[in-house]
Amino acid sequence: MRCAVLTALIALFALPQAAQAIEIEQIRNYPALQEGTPRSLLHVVGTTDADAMDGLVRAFRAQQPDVAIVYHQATSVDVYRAVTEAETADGEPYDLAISSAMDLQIKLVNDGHARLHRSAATARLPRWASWRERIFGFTREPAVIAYDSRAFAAAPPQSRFELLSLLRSEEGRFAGRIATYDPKVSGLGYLFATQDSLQSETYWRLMEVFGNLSARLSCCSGEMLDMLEAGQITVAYNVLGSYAQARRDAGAPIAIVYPEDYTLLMVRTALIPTTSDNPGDAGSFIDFLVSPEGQRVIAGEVSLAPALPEGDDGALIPVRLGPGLLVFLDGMKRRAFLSEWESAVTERR
Amino acid sequence: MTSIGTPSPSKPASSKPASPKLGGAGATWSLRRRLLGQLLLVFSGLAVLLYLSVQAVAGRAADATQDNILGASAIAIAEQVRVAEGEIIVDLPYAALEMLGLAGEDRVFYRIADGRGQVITGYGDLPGGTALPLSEEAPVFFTQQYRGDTVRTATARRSILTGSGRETVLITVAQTREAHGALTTSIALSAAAVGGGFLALAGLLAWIAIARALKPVQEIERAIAARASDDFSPLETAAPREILPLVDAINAFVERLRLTLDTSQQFIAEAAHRIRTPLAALKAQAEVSLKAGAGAASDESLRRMVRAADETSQLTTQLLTQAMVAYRAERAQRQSLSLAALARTAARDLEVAAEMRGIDFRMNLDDAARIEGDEIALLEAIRNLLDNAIKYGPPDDFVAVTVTAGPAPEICIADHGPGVPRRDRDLVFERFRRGSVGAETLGSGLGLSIVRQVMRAHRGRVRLEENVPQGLKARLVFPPARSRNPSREASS
Repeated sequence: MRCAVLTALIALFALPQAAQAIEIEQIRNYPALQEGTPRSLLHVVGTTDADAMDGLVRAFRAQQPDVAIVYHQATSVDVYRAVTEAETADGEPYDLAISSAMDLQIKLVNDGHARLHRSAATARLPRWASWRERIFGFTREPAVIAYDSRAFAAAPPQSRFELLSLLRSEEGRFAGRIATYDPKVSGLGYLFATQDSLQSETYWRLMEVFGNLSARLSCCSGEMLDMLEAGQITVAYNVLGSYAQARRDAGAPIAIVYPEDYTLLMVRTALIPTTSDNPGDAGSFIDFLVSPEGQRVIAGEVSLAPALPEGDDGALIPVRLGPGLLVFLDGMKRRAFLSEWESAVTERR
Repeated sequence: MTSIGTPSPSKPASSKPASPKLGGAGATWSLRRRLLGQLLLVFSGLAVLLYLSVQAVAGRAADATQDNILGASAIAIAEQVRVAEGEIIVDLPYAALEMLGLAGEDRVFYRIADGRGQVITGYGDLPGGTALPLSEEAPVFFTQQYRGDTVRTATARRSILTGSGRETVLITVAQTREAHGALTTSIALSAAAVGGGFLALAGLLAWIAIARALKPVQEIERAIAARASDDFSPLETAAPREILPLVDAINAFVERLRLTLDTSQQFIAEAAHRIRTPLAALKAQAEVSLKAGAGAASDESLRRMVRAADETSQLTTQLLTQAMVAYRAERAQRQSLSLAALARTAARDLEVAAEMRGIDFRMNLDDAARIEGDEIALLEAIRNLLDNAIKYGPPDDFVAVTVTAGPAPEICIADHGPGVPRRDRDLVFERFRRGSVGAETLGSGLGLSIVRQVMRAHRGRVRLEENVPQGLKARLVFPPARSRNPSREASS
């Protein structure tokens, strides 16, 4: 998960948007497998790391050998703007927008920027994975607590309550050794923070303790895991489960805990902008993403987690795709939330 | 003798072409189908009505549901309006928008603005409506177009004290109506399914009910079909009150048929007897002459033979005429006729017979007298009266024929013969009856009976009166012309 620069998000609702150019972090070109001129060209813009998308794009191209694909990696705000402003780096509209910023994706659909897509594949999706038949979730990534396994002799705390009582009882041991997302900087961090605040009051007490212990604030899961691996911190709160799993698989001394009280699931979503001039192939790509074949590819990719098949673990709570997500996009609400968050965390340091 | 054109009882009556008298228009139709069709038509109308009314009710219910949620949402937001450091701020409650996503997947828009229309937060271009809510508890609702969709909109009001005085804040929440439409349609479709079910059930029950109701009719049909052609006893089938008139009508008709048949048989028997008598006389006369030897036959016996042959011939003619006239009077097409012309034609036909007795006709005819009827039957009737006048009137006399127009046209034939005594005036109309004075005159006793039959068929009357000072007046009075009612009483 890349950092989303949230100062731009604030600007989104306050300033004329055309003033800033859309910044593309990385471009990958996938020419058609078939010889000769490709039948069509699919422009994809997404927040997902180009390396993580590589396997999916190649597998799709194997199914549609006459389609050429261009993948543009950008921040979630730039993905949002790319759709609303119908602009690409090479002057053509995007056909598919993939983002982990569920709230911005929902706003795109609510404001009428997404195109209806109906197929047998999308009809099989569970309710939480789509909205208005215009936005489709294809990964489900948990927000977990990662611990430095070297610091715990026994099992680390399995829930927020246990973590809270441990931090309260051993303040000296954890001072300056906790990290979490800075919601002012990270879009995903903001999403997790707001959803946490809706789930339980424990969250605010936890944040107060984090503030007392001078928790470090980070832009990204990767950075927090780096610090954990290097032994600079002991607890990383709300990191993406698939990232942590990838580190552990690589031999890092990391213990991963899916909090028992509840575990938030971020859903990575795809939608077809209304400005797309190739909605047919874009629809096929979405169908591929949610198909068993696409889900197998996602399962094989270290930094992604498949959305299907669903487990029936009651503690796993997918962030609900719906108009509720618009609430925390409201500029006034955002300022109010961040100021409350800051008074809980930052101002206590 | 017994089969008088009645349908053979072995075949089912319904498959036969209807008789011209009863069948009327001829096209057959099913009472059961017509009843069922009309019932189903009514039921379908009711089902459509049910569908439409349920749709309207469901639409209103769905409206109310959506309005309730929108109103609750707007009020929930209004409650979060605060003043901080002199500025109005809104802490948008998560539930306010989330609750709108529970019923369906409709798009949601909101706008919070102050009394001057300055947007505080939300979709700045969302119209808040022109009507202001009266109180803080009662938002106003309306439907409008926004961003290419129809949206239901609620606007709530909140009054708040700021540094610069009291300020009104308007909270507008809007939602598209896809779930609303889907809900209405699904409820209305359920209603339609229920209506359709009722329709099918009602059709089935109606079919059974009609079949049961028509059962007595079938029983009557079976009873009539099964009976022998000479069985004129009344139907004994038990029938409901509504069918009873039909049974009574059938029984009455059968009774009339029986009477008609009786009369015909009596007529035939009597006719045979009457014809046999002069024939026997003729034969006896011829045998007497034969025994007397060739050439010995006297003029007297030859005259008797001629007289007997005449009598037989006239009798036969009149019998056949009566049968013909009876048939024509009942069946023939009525046409408009001039009574005067009829009188002239009849007089011409009997001119020779009249001359032989030195009688002439004094005609006083009004050409305006027109009647409706059958020409041949009427001519026969008038001829019979003229014939009687010639026969019974004194020779070298005149017979007065008068035709008068008016509301009831009539023809009157007056002679100066012996007349008919008052007591005999009904009797002479009976078949083979002759007046007491006509004994030595040649006649069959059928003439007046034919006249009466013809007049009855024309709904007219025949009257015999005394011609003062001497003779008989026979008067035929017709009903007013132009009345085209079918003559029912003529047949009874």
